[in-house]
Amino acid sequence: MPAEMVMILVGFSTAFALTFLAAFIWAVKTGQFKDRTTPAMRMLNDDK
Amino acid sequence: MATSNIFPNTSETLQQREWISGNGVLTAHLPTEQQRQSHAQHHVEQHTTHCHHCGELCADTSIQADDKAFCCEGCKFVYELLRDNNLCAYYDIENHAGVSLKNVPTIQRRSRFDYLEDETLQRQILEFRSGKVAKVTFYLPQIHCASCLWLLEKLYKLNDGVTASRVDFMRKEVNITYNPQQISLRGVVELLTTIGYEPELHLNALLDTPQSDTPQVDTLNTDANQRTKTSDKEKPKRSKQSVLTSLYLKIGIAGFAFGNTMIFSFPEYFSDAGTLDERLRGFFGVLSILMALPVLLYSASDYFKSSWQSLKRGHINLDVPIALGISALFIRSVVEIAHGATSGYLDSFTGLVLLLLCGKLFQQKTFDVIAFDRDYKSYFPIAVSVLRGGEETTIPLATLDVGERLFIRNAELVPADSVMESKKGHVDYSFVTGEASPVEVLQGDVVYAGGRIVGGAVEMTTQNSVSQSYLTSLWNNDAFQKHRKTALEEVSDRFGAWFTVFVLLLASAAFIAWMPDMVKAVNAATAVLVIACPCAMTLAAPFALGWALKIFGNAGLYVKNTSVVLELTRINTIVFDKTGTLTDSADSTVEFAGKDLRVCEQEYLAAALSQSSHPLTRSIAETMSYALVRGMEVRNFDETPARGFMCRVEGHLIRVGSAEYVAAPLFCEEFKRTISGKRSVLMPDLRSLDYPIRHYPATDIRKFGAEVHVAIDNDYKGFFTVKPTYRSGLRELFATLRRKYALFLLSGDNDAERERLSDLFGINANDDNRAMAFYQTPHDKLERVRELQDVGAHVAMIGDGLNDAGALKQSNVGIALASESGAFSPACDAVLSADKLARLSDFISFAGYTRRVIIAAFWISVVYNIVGLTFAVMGWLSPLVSAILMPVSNATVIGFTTLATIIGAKIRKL
Repeated sequence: MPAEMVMILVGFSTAFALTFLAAFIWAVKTGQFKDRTTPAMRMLNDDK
Repeated sequence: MATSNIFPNTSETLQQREWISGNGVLTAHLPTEQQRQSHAQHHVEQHTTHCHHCGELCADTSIQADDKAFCCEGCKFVYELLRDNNLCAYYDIENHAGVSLKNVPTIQRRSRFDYLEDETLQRQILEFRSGKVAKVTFYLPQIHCASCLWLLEKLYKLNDGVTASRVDFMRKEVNITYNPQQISLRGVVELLTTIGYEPELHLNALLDTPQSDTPQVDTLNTDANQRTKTSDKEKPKRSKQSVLTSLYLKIGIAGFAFGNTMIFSFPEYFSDAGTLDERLRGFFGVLSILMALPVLLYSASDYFKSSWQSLKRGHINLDVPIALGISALFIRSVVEIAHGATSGYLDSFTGLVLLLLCGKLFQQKTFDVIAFDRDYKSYFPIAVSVLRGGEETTIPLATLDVGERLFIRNAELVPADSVMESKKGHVDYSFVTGEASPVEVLQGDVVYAGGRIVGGAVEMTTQNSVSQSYLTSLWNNDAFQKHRKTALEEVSDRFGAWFTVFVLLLASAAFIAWMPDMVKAVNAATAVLVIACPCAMTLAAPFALGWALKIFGNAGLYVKNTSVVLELTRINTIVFDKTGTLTDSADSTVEFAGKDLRVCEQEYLAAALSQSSHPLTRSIAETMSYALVRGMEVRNFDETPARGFMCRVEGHLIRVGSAEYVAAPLFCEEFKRTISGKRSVLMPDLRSLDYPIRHYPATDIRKFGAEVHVAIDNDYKGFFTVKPTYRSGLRELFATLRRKYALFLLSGDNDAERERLSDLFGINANDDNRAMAFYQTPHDKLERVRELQDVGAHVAMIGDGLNDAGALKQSNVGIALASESGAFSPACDAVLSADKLARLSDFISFAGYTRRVIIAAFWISVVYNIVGLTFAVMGWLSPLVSAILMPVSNATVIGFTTLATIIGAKIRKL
């Protein structure tokens, strides 16, 4: 396998992985791991 | 017997006022919980109507709306409010979801939220404010079910001014966005209070920032500033959350980098050197460095910061070798990649950081569990006197609600921020601020938790619930620290530094030894730096002691801090106080001997006696109805510890205390001769009135029990005798303790009880006079403790928090016994629930056990390090393997100490 192709593929996959890292950072920063109980309870009674 | 009267000339009204003699037990002092239960059961038999709102049993069915019964008007009001706003789904989500409003008389008293109108205060409470939008977060301890959540998020339906509200269920917080032009902050708080969710406002925490716009706020602020030091404890709660958040982030990034660098190193592992394309190797190397950089700069930043901090102060802390290890790995990898030799060890580097952080998280979580339990599950085993329906009742501090009327005596602590209800009083904030001069407070003023009442007893209404952590932080205030480090702490402190130096030397030695072989040299040195884990040794003590504190707390011994547990293992002498410690002041026989007292005189006396917190006066006061003394004006209260006190009730001078204190000794003796010798003079009156006086021969006058003499307007009236009841289990306790410790008893009272005590103590009364001492002043007790210490004894003093404060402070471990009084002095090291006194030997033995657990964990850690370091120096360990072993060893030590302490507690049934 030519080295260039590996480099391109690795570059793509790394960039792709980085978006997930960014998503994780965003989730932590916006407090989505802070309160994991209330949203579940809130959802059940949303329509009342 | 039980209903006969102490005093002669009893009018009928007085009989109704429940003066109790004989066994001296007053029904009003039964635990309130029991009362409530029997109350509830009583109603079950009659009818089982539950309040539609809160689900409590209704006393009757008179309060109704829409065919639904309510327990009180408050509940009905909330129901109607919700019904009118189409919010009845509140009751569908959970049955009887409501918060009972029965004990909240505060709805009517809205003026208590007046202070929320204050601009400066608002600025501090509000998180955000601009024109039409304001945001605020409240802590609502009442949140308990899905209905609460639902209703609180529908606040906008109750008031148009509220735009949105959001609940954090676990934290019991609600974040409210509202329009300040339509509803004020006070309006929001009142709205919440109306529906049963009164926010808990930490005035002290709010007032921290010094801002002085109005003079009124200025005075509040000076107070608050003085309190800043101690209310710091409130703050870390927020920052702890952010520490955890950033820890999660750091772990996430390290994990990401670890996964990727590992993939990039695969080709290296699978291909023989040389077969891999040079360009690819370089490419992977650069990518790895890019991945590792955020790990170095962000994830591992704490280690660098911490070691830099310690180096700046001229110390070497435990993070130094770790920081060195990871930087060695990183730099070496970069150098090798730059030279194109290998693709470095960045996978090891990132993995190492990841594992270190995971260990940290585990440690943090375990600590949080301990801290949480200490703050919320175990309580100061202290009781407070509250007034319910005009009667004084004692309840545990933990169950104290907002809006409760407190009755606080001289020298007792204010347990929660309260509003003064009495006309005037004096508060000594020395526990909070260190400033000893008492401050005058007037009716309506706020008295902060931790203040101590000086002078006459006062009434106040609680505004905030008790903050356990705040009281603990007060207790741990530097002013009351004994500044002693136990051997174990010193050893582990010094050990940390030496160990670090040793590891650094060993790493350099390993590096030099492997020198020509750079790869091996770096590997071995890094492995040494990483695997060496003094952490395990330093963790053993905090974790074992943390668990011990928690276990003690749940079992009724509230220990100030961890060093007390260790100090407890060193004691060899135990000194007991008698009155209120060995005896139970709630359960003693009280009799009066002396002149006839007029009804008004009895009332003055009752009013005076209720002021003091001394166990004897409390015993006497408990035989009297509190209703009797309400509204009486008590002034000029002045107490001389262990001697007596005087005050003016309705202008009459009352002196209560020892014979010497109350009247001139000669006069007293004369009086005693009068009532014992020339009995005939007084007898006719007494006999005709069925007077409960006992007539002793002159020589036996002191044999009955402790005496409390009284004089009204310089006229000697007579004395109360208090015959104590000893707490149960003392004989067994003394028998057990005697095997290992020297026991002493210091009593401030007369020696009437010498024989009974000798029997309990298990000694011959005539043989050993040193073990027991009577007529001891607080100063004598202190001196006695000091004498014992001078001859090398490590003394534990068990006494009553106030009257023995000096001796408690002087002793190595001062344990204050808490029964029905809020008399708690920060000078003590531990507070023991009175009914757990019999378990004292178990507590002490558990402290010793904890110490052994720590030492065992120490040895585990030592063995691990010796083995690990040997392997590392030999170059048999890759840095990554050591990176796995280190957190594992941490976890082992933490797990071992946790399990061992818990099992030890189970064995002792603590």
